[in-house]
Amino acid sequence: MIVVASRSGAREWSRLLVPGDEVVSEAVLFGGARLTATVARVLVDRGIRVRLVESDARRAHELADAVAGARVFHASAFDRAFLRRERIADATAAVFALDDDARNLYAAVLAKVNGAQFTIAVLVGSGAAEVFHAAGVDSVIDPAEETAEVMVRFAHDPRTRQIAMLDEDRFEVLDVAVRPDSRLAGRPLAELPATTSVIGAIVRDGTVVFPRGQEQLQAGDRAIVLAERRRVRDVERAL
Amino acid sequence: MRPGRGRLSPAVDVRLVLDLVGAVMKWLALAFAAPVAVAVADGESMLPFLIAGFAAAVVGWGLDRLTPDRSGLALGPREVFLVVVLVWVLVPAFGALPYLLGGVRQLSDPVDAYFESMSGFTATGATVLTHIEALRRAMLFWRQLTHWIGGMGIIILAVAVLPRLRVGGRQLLQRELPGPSEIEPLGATVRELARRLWKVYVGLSVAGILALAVVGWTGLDPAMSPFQAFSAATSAVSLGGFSPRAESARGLAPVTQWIICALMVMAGINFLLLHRLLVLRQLRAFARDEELRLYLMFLALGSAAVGIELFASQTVHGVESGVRAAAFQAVSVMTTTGFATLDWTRQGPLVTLTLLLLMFVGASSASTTRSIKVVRHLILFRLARRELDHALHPEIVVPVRVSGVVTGEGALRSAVMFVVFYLVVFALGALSLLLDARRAGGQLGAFEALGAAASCPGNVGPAFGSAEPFGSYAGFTDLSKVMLSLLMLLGRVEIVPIVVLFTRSFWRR
Repeated sequence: MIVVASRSGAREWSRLLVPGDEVVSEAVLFGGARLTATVARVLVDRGIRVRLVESDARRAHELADAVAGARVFHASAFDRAFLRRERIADATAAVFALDDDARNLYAAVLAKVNGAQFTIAVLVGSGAAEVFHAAGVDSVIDPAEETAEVMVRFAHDPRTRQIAMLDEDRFEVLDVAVRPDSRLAGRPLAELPATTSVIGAIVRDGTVVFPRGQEQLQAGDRAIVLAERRRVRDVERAL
Repeated sequence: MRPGRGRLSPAVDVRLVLDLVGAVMKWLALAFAAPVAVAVADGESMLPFLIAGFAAAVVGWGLDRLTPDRSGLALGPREVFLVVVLVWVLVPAFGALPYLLGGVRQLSDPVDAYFESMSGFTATGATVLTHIEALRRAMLFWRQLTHWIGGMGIIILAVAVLPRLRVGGRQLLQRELPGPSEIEPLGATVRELARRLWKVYVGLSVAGILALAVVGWTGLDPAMSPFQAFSAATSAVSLGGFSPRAESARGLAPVTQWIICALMVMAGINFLLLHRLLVLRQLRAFARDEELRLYLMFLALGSAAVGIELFASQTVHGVESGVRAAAFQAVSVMTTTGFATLDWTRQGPLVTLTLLLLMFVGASSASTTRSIKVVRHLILFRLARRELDHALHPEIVVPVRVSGVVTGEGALRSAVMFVVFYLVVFALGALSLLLDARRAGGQLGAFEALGAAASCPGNVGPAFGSAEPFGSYAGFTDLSKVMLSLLMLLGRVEIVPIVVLFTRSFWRR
């Protein structure tokens, strides 16, 4: 089920659809690269308690200076005594961004063994995702793939911004600006031809409209469209 | 450093130091012009001041001529320390000349004259005079002026004005403005920073003088003649504590006391912060400053502690007068001023102990205060919290932040060591005073010695026992007075510049 929603709406849906899962209130990030610092800052801003674990002393101090509001530990991700003493398992999510995949894998599994609830690994080399999944790591982020996705967006019409690729690239979620001479503008949505695409939301003058059948597309609107990949060009042409 | 011919020491460029000291001396000579004007206006002899000024000018000019022009040469740390110490030893010496030459009977002993002068320039406010009001007005004026000149730091003035101090001025400024965090790179040069400080200082002084003068003109307080207004305002803004009145601030009208209290509180705020508020209009930076908050909190707590005892013992009558008395004493001692509106030695033990402890607090850094200063207490708190954190989490890394800015480990270490030095000075000072009293067969109580040893390094002024607010230090022996002068000096230069002169590595490479 693909849901296009406001942030609070999305949370509502998530609560309805996946009952029993707690909100991430605390996260532990292993590895002290720039990535971790940025992620930590974002999490801290959202009110999530963040602990950072970094084995290099200098990097640990840099992290502590750079990220106010997070607690930084100069320790090794493989230190079982440390993991137990600091009750790393209490954190809702543990993110592993160490220098190489082998160490990331071991650290992630070690954390899971010590009770970590939700583990996320940031891959270094590509193609390692299946190994992590097999080992029981809950989520895997491949920075190379994410970067490729961003690049692919440039292949689109400049009016279009690609937001997401779903279901192994079969579907795309796009943000398309409606042209003044679009043949779909000015007609109620209910009258638009049925295709393998749907308009989930309209952004007009900075406010978001979740359209009902009578809503009309206007020039300058941004339509959030979910479409089949092979239909994307048609959608762009139509809008 | 290049080894030079005729250098007294291979490691210290003594000639450069003397050159700079000479420059400061020449500035000092100018300062004597003011009391000359007062003496002339009063029909009194201006000779003491003229001679003193001439002497300072000659020495300054002489030092300048004897040492080759060193403009553009950088001041190293050794030179900075030596300049600071020499200036702070010599300036009070020349400042004492008018007392000696002017036939001030109570200050006819050079030790007494130097004590009074040192107390003036270091903005301490301790006096050996037993009859303050017997002095001529020009002498009293000079006495107050020494506070005002020394309050902001003679060297800051020098940095603001002397072109040759452009290089190495930063270290000098740092030395005069101690406390870890002030010399922020505000995008301003050292000279600009020094100028800002003087602008705020002069501005506050003028505002204070005007406020008190208006109080006098409107008849709200007949005691506030222009001279008294000038004296009280400059003493409050320099956080000195001298008063031409034997009664200090006792007996002044409530509005006057409130104004003086307000001046002391303002003069205890970080002047660079005040500049940001008043000139740059950066209200948020001002409101968010952690040192300011802790400073105000300390003032409030101190006032409350004093107030509890004053009200409980019913020394004060009425809420307003009680609050005023409590606040005034607490503010005066914590900001290291030394004014008094009541004899704090005759109140209960809570007042005595609170005031003694407040002598170790000080006001904000980059103000005219001395003692330990609030920012160092803030750092100590944070370090203590970090220590406790480490006890529970051995691997945790906790940077110490002051007002959101991470403070380097070097600055933290300096703050801690300063407090250690300060306490050692206090302890040794008290012991020395007691030993000397025994030697001379005098009567000095333990608490009296502790009070004096706390008050002088903190540049507070009055203490307990005979040195109480309306008393004087006259009862101490000459040797003790010399030691007390040294304590005042140690507090003013923040200990390190003097102690470091006694280390071998200072004089050798």
